[in-house]
Amino acid sequence: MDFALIRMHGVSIGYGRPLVHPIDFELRRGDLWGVVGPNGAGKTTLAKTILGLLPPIAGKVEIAAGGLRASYTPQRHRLSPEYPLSAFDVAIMGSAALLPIGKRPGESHRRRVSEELERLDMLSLGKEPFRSLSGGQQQRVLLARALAADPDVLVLDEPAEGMDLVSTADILGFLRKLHGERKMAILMISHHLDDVVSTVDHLCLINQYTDTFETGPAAAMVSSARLTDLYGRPIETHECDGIQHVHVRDERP
Amino acid sequence: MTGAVGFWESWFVWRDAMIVAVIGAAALSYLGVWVVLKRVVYVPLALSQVSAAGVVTAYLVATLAGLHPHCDTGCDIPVDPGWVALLFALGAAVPFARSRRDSSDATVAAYLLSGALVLILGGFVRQDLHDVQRVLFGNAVLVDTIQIAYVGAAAILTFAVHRLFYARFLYVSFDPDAAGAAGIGHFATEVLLFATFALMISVVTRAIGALPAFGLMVLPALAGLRLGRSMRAAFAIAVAAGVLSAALGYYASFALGLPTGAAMVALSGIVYLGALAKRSR
Repeated sequence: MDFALIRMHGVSIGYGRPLVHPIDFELRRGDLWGVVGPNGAGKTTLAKTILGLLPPIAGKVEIAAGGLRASYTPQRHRLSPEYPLSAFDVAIMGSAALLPIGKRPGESHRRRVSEELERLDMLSLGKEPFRSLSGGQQQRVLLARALAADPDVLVLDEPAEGMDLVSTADILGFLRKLHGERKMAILMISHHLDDVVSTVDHLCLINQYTDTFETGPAAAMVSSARLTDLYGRPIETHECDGIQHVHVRDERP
Repeated sequence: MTGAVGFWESWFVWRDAMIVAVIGAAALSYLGVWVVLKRVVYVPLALSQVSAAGVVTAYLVATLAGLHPHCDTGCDIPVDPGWVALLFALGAAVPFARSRRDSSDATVAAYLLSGALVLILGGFVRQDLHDVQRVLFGNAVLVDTIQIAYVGAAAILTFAVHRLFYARFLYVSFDPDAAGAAGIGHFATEVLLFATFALMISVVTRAIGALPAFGLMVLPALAGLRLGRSMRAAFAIAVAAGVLSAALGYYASFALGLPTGAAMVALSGIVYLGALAKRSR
């Protein structure tokens, strides 16, 4: 039985005022969660509360005994393009910062980071400036950085943000594969509802404007009624070749 | 080359001041790279102003205590105003190190309030204005030999802290949320980084003045980041540009009769414009 890595009891999330009603939520080893909701719904606020970056307004966030290692990949647009860093510099940043104070990454750390870059087909671009990489390539580097830290919990904020169809499919496919290979909990925030529902096992629906916070197995959560409530617009779902598709009903006359 | 000959002949006049400026420029230009990358270029200005408030407060306390300090040969008041200035600057580093939005609000507020405080409290200080000005903003020409020790010790401490915490400073600056999720204390790390800004700004402002301290922190760093293709290169170019501007600034000041601090800043500006031109080609 997989145990809870992070458990939230009656937690109110937000900056000063609660965004939604108090939340109960558990993240277990081996879970693959998607968090969806409209813009400004509170998805990133939820992720930051789970990670301990933002204190809850009320309630308790408990982490597994003995602590856990968490990795977070933020929305790429939040990273400054001014830093003259290579892709490898960015990828090794997480491991280097966790070393004892004053210690520099050794050969084993560099090898570990190189392995992750290799898995993500980014090793050949390791010396390229991070800022000159495409959005998809930057995302892979950030993912390599996150994975090189061997996290128990991996939280990805809009991993497919600004990516084309193929890059999106690649990154989500990689996450699916990663989930199969490693016993870590993955929580992915996304606007790409179609892609998320076909990737994750569990879904969390959140919208501060309708005071919505619902969780459950992805298949059960993707219903026209639920998504219509979540987005405030008529949304239809249908399944084709075993894959759930979601679209907004065109209300134009 | 009579200018050069005259300059070297009167080396003993410039020696201490130039050593202080060069050491200060090296440390400030290095720190400037962080300041520019973190988009907090207004922080050194505010720290300088907060330091000034510390100096005036020290004089006011001395005045209220009935002391008559005179600073021509060092200050006779119980606590050197320079230390009070440093204390004030380090105290200001704490709110400045908060999250970016809060930090910029705090910085602007601190700059304005410190400026007002200097003017208001300054009126109550029974002290020759020249003495206060000298401690507040230094003098790039007349530098006490002891300032070499102060600026040198501050620079060594700064580089030592950065040698130890470089990886954390970089992670927290580049991606604060990821660093926080990984368990790195974001606030404590930022406070330490900002404390090094406060330390250097405070001691260099007192030694050579506010204008060269601010100029040497920002302009060489901008040049370094324009030309450097790695962090290491950006730091190296910035430090080289800062040291060169400080040293040549003294020579230009001597040869052309320019104000020394302004000459240093002007040379940094020329280096930055050169970097802009080179990068845009």
